[in-house]
Amino acid sequence: MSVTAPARPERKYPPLHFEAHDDMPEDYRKMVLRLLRETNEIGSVPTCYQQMKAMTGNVRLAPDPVSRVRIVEFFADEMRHQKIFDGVVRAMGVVPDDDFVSSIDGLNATAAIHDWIDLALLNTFIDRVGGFQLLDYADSSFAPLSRTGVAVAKDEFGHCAMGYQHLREICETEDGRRAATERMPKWYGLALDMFGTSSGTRQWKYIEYGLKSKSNEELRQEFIVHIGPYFEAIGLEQPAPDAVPRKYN
Amino acid sequence: MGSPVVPDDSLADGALAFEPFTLPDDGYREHLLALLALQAAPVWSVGQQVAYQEHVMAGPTLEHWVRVSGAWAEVERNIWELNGLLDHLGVDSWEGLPGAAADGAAVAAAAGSWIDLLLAEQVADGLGAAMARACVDSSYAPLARTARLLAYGKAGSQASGVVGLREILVEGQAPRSEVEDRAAVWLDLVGTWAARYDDAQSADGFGRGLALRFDATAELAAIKTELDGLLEAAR
Repeated sequence: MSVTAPARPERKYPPLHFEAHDDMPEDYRKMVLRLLRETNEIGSVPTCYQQMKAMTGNVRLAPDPVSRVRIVEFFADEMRHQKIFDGVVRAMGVVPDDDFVSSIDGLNATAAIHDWIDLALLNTFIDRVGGFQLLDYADSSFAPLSRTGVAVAKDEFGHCAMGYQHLREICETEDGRRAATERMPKWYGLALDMFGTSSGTRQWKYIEYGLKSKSNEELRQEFIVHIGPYFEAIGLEQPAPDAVPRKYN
Repeated sequence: MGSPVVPDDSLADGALAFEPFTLPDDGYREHLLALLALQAAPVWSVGQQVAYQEHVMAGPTLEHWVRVSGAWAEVERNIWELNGLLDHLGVDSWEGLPGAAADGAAVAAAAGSWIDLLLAEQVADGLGAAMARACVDSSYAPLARTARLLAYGKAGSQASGVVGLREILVEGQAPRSEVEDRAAVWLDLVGTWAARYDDAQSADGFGRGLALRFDATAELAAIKTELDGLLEAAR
């Protein structure tokens, strides 16, 4: 017996339909808040604070002065994002509680950063996924998400360019390339999982409400195609999606 | 035969006259290094890096963390820019400038809390902004080019410090007396930089068109007046 994928739902609300203060269907409102929670950039939440605080230590990992400048700029960008998304939640009349934290492993991986190589891989993969997801909000029916998504996505693509530059420098030595090759699967797997499950039902609700435009698998496949040349350019083999540690597929 | 790389005397004091590879003589280089040494703390933010790393998220609100994170990034950029300038002048890093290491240590010692970071912006960057403005038509082209951007960056930092201090005082985020005590420390420290800068100006006027003259002590007095106004408004 074959399983048929659910039909793509019709979009209910056009781009920029709701502002934060507008009346909106309760279920729609819950879905918006869930998307905001999943950014993991809600600065007043203790978990987000702790993760940002942990990131201040990453400046010590920078191998040279210009890399140090870049990492502090990256930190300042991320801190600004914390304020932006926190502000959107509050504009909806919600005070985020301590549990307003993302369930996405890749966004809670700050404790897995042990050195400059981990950080380069995180920026290369995880920030890139962030950029992909946020750009998908460009035509969102929830106007604040459309506006902030595009603005923050630009920063995220800058961060992944920075990470890739660091990764390229790491791969210039034999030891660096070996270490990057060993650790890459973990970070690549986390990145692929960030798009969510292929079979989840919530993704269709997001599309129906006009909050997102693409399914989890569509975005994941776009990401895989997009990042292929980056692997090739630094001589790392792009693993098959099922050949790296994964929670979802 | 090509043109001489050293401009003639009529250009010697003009804006953007010299590049690193066209320095007219050793004396010019010495004047330039002396100026950069006096600017090291107020303009180029030496000594602040560790304090930012330690206290960037020590303030009471998300607004403070965002503001101070941006200031930290500017501090890191400023120091990197200074080291870039010095590299072209044959100096390894800012620690090689006369007196700069001591200034950096004094800043690090003074910057012991998140409140100090805001005072560093309002007081030290306030004087730094004036020093940067004095160099926008410097005869040393790399300094002029950097100063033209930095003058705005430092003014922005000063404004950021004012906003942060006002929030502390208006919202009662720290005792007013603590802000006053820390302000006195920063005014005293930056006062020594202003006095030293004025002494150097009166001695040789930063000859060779390196920087315009200005009254650094009067500039600091204006900064103090602004700070006093903030404190007074919170009474």
